[in-house]
Amino acid sequence: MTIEATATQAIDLVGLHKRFGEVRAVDGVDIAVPPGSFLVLLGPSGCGKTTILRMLAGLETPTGGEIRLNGTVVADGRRGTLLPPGRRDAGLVFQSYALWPHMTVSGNIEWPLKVRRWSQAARRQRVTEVLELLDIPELGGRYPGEISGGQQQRVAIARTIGPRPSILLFDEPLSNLDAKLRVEMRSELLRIHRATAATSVYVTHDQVEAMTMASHVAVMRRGRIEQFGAPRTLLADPATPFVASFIGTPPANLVPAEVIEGRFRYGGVDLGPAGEIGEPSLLMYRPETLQLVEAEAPGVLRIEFGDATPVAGRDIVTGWFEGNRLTAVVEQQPQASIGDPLYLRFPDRPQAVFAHDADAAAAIAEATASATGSAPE
Amino acid sequence: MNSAAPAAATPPGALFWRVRRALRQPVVVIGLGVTFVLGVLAAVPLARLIGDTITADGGSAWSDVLASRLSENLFWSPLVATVAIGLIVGLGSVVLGAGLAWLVVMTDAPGRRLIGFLASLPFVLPSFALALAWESVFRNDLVGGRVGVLWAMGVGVPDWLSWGFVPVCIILIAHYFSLVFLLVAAALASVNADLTEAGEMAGASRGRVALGITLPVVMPAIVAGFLLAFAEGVSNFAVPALLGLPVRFQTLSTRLYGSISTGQTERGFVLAVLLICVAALVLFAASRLTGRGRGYATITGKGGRRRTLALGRWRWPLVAVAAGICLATTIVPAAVLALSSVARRSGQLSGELTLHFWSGASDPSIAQGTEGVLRNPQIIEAGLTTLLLGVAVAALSALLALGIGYVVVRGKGTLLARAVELMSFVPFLIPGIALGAAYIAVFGRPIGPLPALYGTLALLILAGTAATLPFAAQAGRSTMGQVAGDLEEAAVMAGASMPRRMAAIIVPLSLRGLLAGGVLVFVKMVRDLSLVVLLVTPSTTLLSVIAFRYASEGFAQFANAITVVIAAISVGATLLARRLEGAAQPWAEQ
Repeated sequence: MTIEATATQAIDLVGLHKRFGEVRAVDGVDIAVPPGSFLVLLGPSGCGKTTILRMLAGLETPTGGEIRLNGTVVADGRRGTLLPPGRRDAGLVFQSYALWPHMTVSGNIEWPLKVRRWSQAARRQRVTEVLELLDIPELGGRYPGEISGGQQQRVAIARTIGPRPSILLFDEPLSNLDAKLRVEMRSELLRIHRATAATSVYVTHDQVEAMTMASHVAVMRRGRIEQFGAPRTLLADPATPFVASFIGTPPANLVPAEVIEGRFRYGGVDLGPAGEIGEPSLLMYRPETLQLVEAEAPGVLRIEFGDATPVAGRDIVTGWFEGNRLTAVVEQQPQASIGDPLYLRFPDRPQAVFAHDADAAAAIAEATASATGSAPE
Repeated sequence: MNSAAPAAATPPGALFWRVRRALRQPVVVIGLGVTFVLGVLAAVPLARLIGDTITADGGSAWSDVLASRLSENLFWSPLVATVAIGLIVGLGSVVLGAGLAWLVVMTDAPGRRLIGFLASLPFVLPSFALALAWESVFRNDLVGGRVGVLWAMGVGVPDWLSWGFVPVCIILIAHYFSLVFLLVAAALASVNADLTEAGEMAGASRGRVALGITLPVVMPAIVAGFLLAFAEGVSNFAVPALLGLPVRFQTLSTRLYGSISTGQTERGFVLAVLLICVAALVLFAASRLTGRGRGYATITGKGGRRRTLALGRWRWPLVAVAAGICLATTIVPAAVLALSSVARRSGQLSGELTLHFWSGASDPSIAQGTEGVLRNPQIIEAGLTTLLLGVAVAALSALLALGIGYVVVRGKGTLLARAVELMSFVPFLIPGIALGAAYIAVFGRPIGPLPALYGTLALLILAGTAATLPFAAQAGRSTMGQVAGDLEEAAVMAGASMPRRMAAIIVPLSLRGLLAGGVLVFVKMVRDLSLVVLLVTPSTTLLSVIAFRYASEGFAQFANAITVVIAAISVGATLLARRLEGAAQPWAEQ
C-alpha cells in the first residue's frame, strides 16, 4: 500500500491487537477503506469483530498497532487512546440501542447535540430533520419504553447521526429485530448511509446482511482476518475453507476428497485431475453447480435425501453422504422422503481446492455452527 | 529516548503512558477516591482499635480480659451467653421467617398479602421498642421500681420470663425474623412454576419436588438469613442492656459498654476486638460452608408464573398462627407502647390516662418534675439532631453507594473493584458498639492539626456512614447493575465528560435505588442505639439514647413516648420512600 493511499483512507487499521488478559481478542488486523465505504466486519460470535468496532469508537484501547481515522492516529498500542470517543467524529449504534430511558425520543437525539454545544435553534431543527429522515416524526414526545423495538432502532440511528459524524459504527444493529423488520431496516440503513455520506462500519454475524449492504467485507475468525474484499469476490473466490463454508446462501459444499493416482475421488466417484496436489483435499462446489439425476451412473454420487426448502422458484435440496452434508440448488423438487436415495452429479472441476488439515476441519465446524444457529448472541 | 540503552523490555516512557491510560478511566479515578474514603471510614478505625490494645497501656488489658480473676465474669460467661443468643436468634428467625415466607408465597392462605406486609414491619421498628413493650407487660418486682401489666394484675411472672436470656432471645427473634422473611420470600418468588412442574413431569411427588427442587433453590437465602440474624443477635446492644443489665445478665456488647462507660477504655477495646472476632469467625466459617450454593441465586432471577399449594383444612389454623406471630411482633407492641405512654401509672394500662408524659408541664409530683417529651427542649433538640444525623448519613451513604456501585460493577474483575467490594463489607463484621469503640480510639484525641471529633455531630455522621457501608454497597451494586453499561457508553460517544455523564445519565437512572437505599440507611440511623450509645455526649444527644436513659432510670412512660416517636419516623420514612420511588421514574410507568 502506498503512503499516498494511506493518507486518504477514512479508516486505517495497522497491525491492530487487543488482548484481554491471556485472550487475544484481536490478533493482528490490517484494514483500510476509503471515505464513503460501507465496511462490514463479518464473523461468528467471539471472532473479535465487536472489539474492533469498540476500538474504532474509542471505548476500548488497543494493546498493539495503530488506528487512523481520516489520516489522524487516534489510538495506538503504546500510548493508548489519543483522541477520546467524543472527539473522533464517529457515532455508534449499539446492539441494545442503549436509549436513555429517562429521556424522550427527542431528548435522546438532542442530548448529544447539547453536549457539543449546539445552539437551541440548531438543535431543534436537527432533531426535526433526523426524525423526518428516519420517518418517525410523530415519536418525538414518547419515552423509549413506550415504543416498539423497530421504532427504538430508528431512534438509536437518529440519535447517532444527529451530530453528523463522518464515521458511523453499527454493532449488530438488526439482531434484535424479527426477520421481516430486518429486511426492511437493511435497505433503510443503506438509504441513511447514502444520505449522510458517512463511512460506515457494520458488525454482524449474518452473511446475508454483509452481502447485501457492504462495499467491503472483512471475514473474521479467532481475532484474525480470513479474507478482505468485495462481497462478490468473497463469493466467487473464497480464500479459505472458512470463508467458503460461511459465505453464500446456501454456502458452498466442501467435499473431502482423496487423491488416487493423480485424480480426486470421493465415495468412489471420480472428481477430476488433482494436478500437482497429492494430499487429501477439500473441493469446493457451489450448490448451483451440483445436479440431481434420475439414476445411478458413472461419476454420480448416491446420497440420502434430507430436506428440501423452496426458495424463489427453486429448491435447496440437502442430502447426506457418510455424515457429510451436501447442498444443491435445483429447478424441481425431487419426489423423495427422508432417507430415500438421490443421485448427485458433480461438474468436471471443483470451483476451488483447499488443503484438508485439522484447522480446515475446525474452521468448517465453526462456520457451519454460526450459519445454522442463526442468532448466537 | 536514550539510544544507548539496550533493547529493554520496558521502553522509556512506557510507565508514563500506562499510568496516563489508567488515570483516564473513570473507574480507576473513582475507585481510588472510594478506596481512600473506605480506608478512613473503616480500615483505619479498625487498625487503630487493635493497635491501642497492644500498646503499653493495652498490654495488660488482654490478660485482664482473657486470663485473670476477672475474666470469667468479664469475658467467658458473656461470650457463652452471646454465642447462645446468636444461635437461638438465628435458628428462631429462620423457622419463623422462612415459614411465613412459604405461607405467603407458596400457598393459598387467605390474607397472605396482609401477612406479608406485617411480616416485613418489625425490622422497621427499633429493637428496643420491643424490649420496652416486653417490660411494660412482663416486668416483675425483682429489681424494684415499676412493674408490668401482668404483675400489676396479680399474675406472678417468673424471673426467667421477666429478665435475662429468654426474653432477650424472644425479642431478638421477633425483631430479626422479618429479615429472613424478606430474603426467603424474594427467593421463593423467583422459583418459577416451570421449575417445579418440570420436577413433577419427571414423576416426583410434591414433597419430593419441595425437598429436591424448591428447598435447594432457596437454601442460599435461608443461610444468608440465618447469618444475618446470627450476626445481629450477637451484636445487639439495646435488648440485653434493657432486659439483662438490671439482673447482671451480660453479653459481650453490654460488657463492652460497661467497660468504656466506666473509664476502662483499654479493656473495652479488647472486648470490642473479641466481639468482632466472634462475629467475623462465624460469618467466615458459614460462608465457606455455603460457598457452593451461591451460584443458584443468579439463575433464578426470572420470576414468573407461580402455582400455589392448596392448604385444605390446614388453611385457617396456619393463618391463625401466622397472624398471631405478626400481630404479636408489630401491632401489639406498638399498642402497648402507645398506651403505656399515656398511662398515669406504668403497668396499669386500663387505669387513669394522661397526656402528661407527652405534653405536660413540669410537675414535681410526677417523675421528679420531668416535662412531657413534646415540651422538653432537650428532647426536641435531640429529635432535630437525630433527623439531621439520619439525613446526613443517608446522603453520604447514597453518594458512596454511587461510587462503590460504579467501581464494583463497571470495574468487575479488576483488583481495585475487588478491594473496594471487600472493604465496603468490613463494617458488616463489626458490631455497632465495637465500631463506636473504634471511633473513640481514633477520633477521641486530636489527629495532627485536626481537633478531636469526640462529642461532635461530625463524628456521629462519620461513624454512621461507616456502619451503614455494607447497605450502601449493596444498594449501589444492585442499582448500578441495572444501569446497562451501554447507556453510559452512548454518552461517552456523544462526547460527554465524566461529571456530565454522572449528572445526566447515571444519577437519574440510579436515583430510585439510591433513594431506597438512602431511606433504609436513614431508618437504620434513626433507630440505632448500639453504635451511637458510646459516641453521644450531652451536646449531641439523640432520641434513642434519651429513650434508653429514661428506660434505665425507670421513667418508662417517657421512654415509651420517645420510642413511639422514633417508630413513627421510621414507618413514615419507609412509606414516604415507597411513594418517592414511584414518583422518581415517570418513564417507567406503563
